[in-house]
Amino acid sequence: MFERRRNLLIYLPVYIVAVSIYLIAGILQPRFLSWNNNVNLFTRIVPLLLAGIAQMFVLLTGGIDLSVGSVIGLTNVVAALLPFVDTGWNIVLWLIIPPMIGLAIGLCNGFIISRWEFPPFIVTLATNTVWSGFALLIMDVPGGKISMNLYRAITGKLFSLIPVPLILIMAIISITYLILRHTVFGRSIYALGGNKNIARESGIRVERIEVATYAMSGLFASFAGMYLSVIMISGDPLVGEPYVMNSIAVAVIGGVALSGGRGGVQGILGAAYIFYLIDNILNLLGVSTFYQYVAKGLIIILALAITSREKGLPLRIKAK
Amino acid sequence: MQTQSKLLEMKGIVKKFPGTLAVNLVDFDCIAGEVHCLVGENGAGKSTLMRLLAGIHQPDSGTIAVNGQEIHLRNYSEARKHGIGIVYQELSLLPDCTVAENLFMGIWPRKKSGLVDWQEMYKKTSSILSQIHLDLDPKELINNLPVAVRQMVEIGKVVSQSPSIIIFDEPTASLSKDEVQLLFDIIRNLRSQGKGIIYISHRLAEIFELADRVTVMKDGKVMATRPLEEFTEESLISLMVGRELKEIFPSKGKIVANAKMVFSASVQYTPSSAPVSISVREGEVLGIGGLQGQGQIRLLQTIFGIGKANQLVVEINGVPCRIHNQYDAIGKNIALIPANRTEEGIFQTMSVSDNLSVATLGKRSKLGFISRKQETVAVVEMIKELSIITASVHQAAMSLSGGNIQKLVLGKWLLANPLVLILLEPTKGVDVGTKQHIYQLIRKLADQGIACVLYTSDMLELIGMSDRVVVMNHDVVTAELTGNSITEENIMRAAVAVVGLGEAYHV
Repeated sequence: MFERRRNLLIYLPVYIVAVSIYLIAGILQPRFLSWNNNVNLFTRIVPLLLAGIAQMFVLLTGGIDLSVGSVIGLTNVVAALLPFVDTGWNIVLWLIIPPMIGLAIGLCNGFIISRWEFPPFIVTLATNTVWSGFALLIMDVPGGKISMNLYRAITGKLFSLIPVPLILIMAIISITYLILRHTVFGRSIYALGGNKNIARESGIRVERIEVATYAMSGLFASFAGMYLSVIMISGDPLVGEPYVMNSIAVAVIGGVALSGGRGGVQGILGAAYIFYLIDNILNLLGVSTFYQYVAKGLIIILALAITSREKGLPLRIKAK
Repeated sequence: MQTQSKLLEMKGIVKKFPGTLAVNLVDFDCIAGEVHCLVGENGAGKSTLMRLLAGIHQPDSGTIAVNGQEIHLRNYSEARKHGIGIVYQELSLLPDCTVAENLFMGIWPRKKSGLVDWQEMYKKTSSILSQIHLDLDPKELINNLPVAVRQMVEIGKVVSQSPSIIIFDEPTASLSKDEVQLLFDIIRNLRSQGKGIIYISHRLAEIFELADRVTVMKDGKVMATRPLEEFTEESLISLMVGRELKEIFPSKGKIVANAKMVFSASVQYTPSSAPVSISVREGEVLGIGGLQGQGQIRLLQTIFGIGKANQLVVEINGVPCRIHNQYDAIGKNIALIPANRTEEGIFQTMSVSDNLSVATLGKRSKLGFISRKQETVAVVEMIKELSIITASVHQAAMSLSGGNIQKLVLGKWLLANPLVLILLEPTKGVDVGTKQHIYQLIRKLADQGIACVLYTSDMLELIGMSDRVVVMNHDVVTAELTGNSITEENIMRAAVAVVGLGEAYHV
């Protein structure tokens, strides 16, 4: 059991950094610590969490998915264009179609990468362009509409007490954890990322798992796209762009090894917080946009140095 | 010899790692013009001692002197400056670079203009290669060379820096018999040039062929340092492990004359070639022998569904099985334990538990969800059964010792309850104690009726473990030996026999 605890300790630095930034923000602006602002934070953090998890699935196998941005953009636009009349069937359609699109794009990526053994970096870079183009084709300027009932549901409170986004965060993390730790699929992901050849020799259907992780990535990215359409009450074909790189950064700061096989969902919430809070603080401080970019980049590298288990600072518990 | 100058002298060396005393007050020296063999089980402290010489670790106390002058090594390049060269077990060559580029990595000869002098580099490479009797194009890519030749290039790389002390860390692990002889010639040649050679090996035969002096280490301490003549094979082993040689192999199975066939396989690679067949009777361990690279591994992998065959006929307990890929083979309860245990066997970063259960996840899951309870029970049972030494089931697999890693790979497949167990080099690089344990385990499995097929390049192991031996020579079975006819002489005769396709003789 000792080892178990040590595994949890691996994710501690991420949360120490996240809490520190949170407290610094609180000192700079006491209103920041108010419950209302925290609810706001829960609401804003969800898409980044979803995108980070989407990326995590693929990174764990040693791959990479640069198409999360376009999936978010495309599903966001589609979600905003679907009929927003609040009949039961329309809601069902709204709930089904965007995830299907995400899933299909992921399957397509996975198939190309697995079937022809093309480098995932290039394949997803290319498909990212393709689906971004589709998103712009469907909706060239931000627009569309979303059912206000959906908006109220997502931004509301359960039993007028618990904010729905917080419940979503808990549910997303729990489900992902369950998939990774307690299913054959999850275990196979780690095996594949650890060593493809041994995984194959151990009877794991490597190709299927690989395709499935890209599909998972597409699915989670589409959830992010849908969520964004609800809280914006409209669609924006370019909304996904920043998520391409941010999802990778969040996953890596959250403890996922780019080389695959190591990491998990436990650190990703903390990483998403770090990411979002940096923006927030810089805004609070009234730093100009140009310097914001510079500062953000530097803080990310600092966060990586503190939380990284790959190399660098000797925080990694090295086995002899 | 005592009067000769000591090239290297280590005195009172102590090195602690968290939790272990890896090297405990060790004295070790090397004289010019001798081969000093260092033997001991895995974890005896040999590698640590050599890492201290390479400057990778620094001793906690004690002194290292080269040519009578005390030195402190902080890294390998400092060790190199003091004339210490190391030929590593794992190859350190860049596969996509040429032989010449590898030999002169970081020390490229320059022209006056500062550009690399390729002419000079190729010329020097040729002279180094001829020095170690290696006929090779300096422009050849490492990738295109067989492992044994790469090992030679590796030696060339070390020799090219003209060190006075050369350390060979298990250099023969990937070499065939001829190549070993070639290596020995090179080592003897270096010795006659007055170099001090430190040679680490698990193979006793090599030590008796090569050594001038032998040092035995056990549990971080030196048990003895004596001239070779004062050792016998038995005394050497008993110093290493404290048990007699004859106890290593379990007694062979009692073969009933007409025992039923539990497993048979026949492989035909091309429509025109003759099929290669093997079969295992109940309670039997079938050994596959012959020189290295005679198609033994290819045959066994093909049976397991890896690799191409024109026709593959497999029968288990008389029932024919269709095998197109390894998934089919696994589905038919065939297990293959690969040879290269750290690279091919385990997931380094995953836990002991995850490593053990990875091949049998489906058996302990419902609708894709793994039953943790069943998994823990199965894993803990297997750890006990194989006496795998680990702090907990959640420990990372890479922190285990070599022997335990090999047991882990075995355990992974035993959890699958195989009917056929194919073992490739199951004890390669494993210490004597673990070897014994693995031998007993194989025998026990054979007694339980599992068809065990064993490929090993270790002659003693082949003879000691097999109830029947199939000797292969260039993709052809040249002999099938049983009982008392399993002798080194018979095996070697069949291994080197010149045969036409399809011809085989039975002893």
